[in-house]
Amino acid sequence: METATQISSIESQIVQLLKASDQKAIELIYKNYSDALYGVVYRIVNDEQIAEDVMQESFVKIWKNASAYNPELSRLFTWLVNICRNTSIDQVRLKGYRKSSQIRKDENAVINKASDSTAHQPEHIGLKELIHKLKPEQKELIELAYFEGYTQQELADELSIPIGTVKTRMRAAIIELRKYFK
Amino acid sequence: MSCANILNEFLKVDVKQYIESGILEQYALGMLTESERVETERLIRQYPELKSELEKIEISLENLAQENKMKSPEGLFGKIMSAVDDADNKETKVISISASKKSNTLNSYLAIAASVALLVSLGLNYHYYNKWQNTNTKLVAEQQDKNLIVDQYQTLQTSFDVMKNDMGFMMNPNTVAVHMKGAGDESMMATVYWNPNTSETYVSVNNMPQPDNGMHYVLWALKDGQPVNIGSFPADSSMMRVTDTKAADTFAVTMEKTADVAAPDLSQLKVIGNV
Repeated sequence: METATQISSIESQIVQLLKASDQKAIELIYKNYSDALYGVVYRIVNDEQIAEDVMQESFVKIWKNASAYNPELSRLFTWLVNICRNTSIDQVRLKGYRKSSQIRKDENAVINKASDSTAHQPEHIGLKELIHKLKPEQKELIELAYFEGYTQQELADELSIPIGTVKTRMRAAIIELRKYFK
Repeated sequence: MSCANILNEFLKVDVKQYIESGILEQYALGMLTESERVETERLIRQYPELKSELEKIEISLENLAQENKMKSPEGLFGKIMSAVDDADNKETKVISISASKKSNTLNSYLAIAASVALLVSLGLNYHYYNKWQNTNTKLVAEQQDKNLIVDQYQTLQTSFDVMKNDMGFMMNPNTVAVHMKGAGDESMMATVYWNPNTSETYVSVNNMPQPDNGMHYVLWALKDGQPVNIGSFPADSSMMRVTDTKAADTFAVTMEKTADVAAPDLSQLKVIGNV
């Protein structure tokens, strides 16, 4: 039912409502995107109560910062999900329950780098099929970047590869993803 | 390097190389630093090819999120709407409270007086409403102009901050400029700016041709002859940040088939310079 054009007309409708400070915008965002946003938030914070709080905080930010959204620079969903991701990551860092890079490295030393990426976060809710079609190192990169909010430098440190390589691998991974959504 | 030169370098961008550098993916993931983000947004505005490439990237990430969606908890919608309400200003609340007050029995005289007052009030309301609408329209237009100017000012301010930051980094007494000279072709030159105290490392190309088709320039930091790949970069790079370098006595650039090679192909050594 959700064809590309329908989505984009919903998008432009929401954008107009946001610009007009109409709360209907929030309703439509919730209706169309809350499950996708919640999936990302939940995977980052790994706790139902915190995920709910983060969703509330994120929606208030979306509402208050509506004028900052610029359709020329990103799609609506990108803007929404990045607000949710940032709020989640702040929350995780605040609570300090994200493992430090050093601990991860020690873990890796023990369980051996060759074992797969689930070693990084055993409690991580599994991602659906598609991401498993990626090469293990691409999958790990997307998981860490998208669902755990690693910075470039953190990824470079974590995976012991240069920043330039982080960029090119990330591109390769997303190109791979694109193939499956055609 | 003068400011004008830096500015010129900034303005000259190879779109294809820029796309291949993977920076748009980083942008979509919100992984760029503030200065990188501003620069990327400037280029997206300037080059439609970048915008359409970015959209493809965004759509695949969006689909990934959609595929991994989870049912949001029962009752969350209500909580969100009341949180949004709370965030709104209090004026609307005051109005809704006073509007909900009800009068009791109506004396007929009072009713007539009230009706007249109401009519007068309605007339005045209409008059003032129109006036207010006009003023409001003007105000909105003014506000939009102001926002536009503020936007432009902020964009300029941030570009300026980026440049100031770059200049500050270059001028920092701890930052060393390592001029890498052509190893075969002597006209080639690139410069590494490295601050050993903070490990921050940038590369700027002074003169290097586009790499051969499908090949990448890779920058190496060497310490006691041990090379470490600190990143690949396009031929038109200007103050591009690469991986932080803790120790190095030499920097060198080779041309490689893949950007993430572990050891340099020394037969493809392009430029080299000692710290």
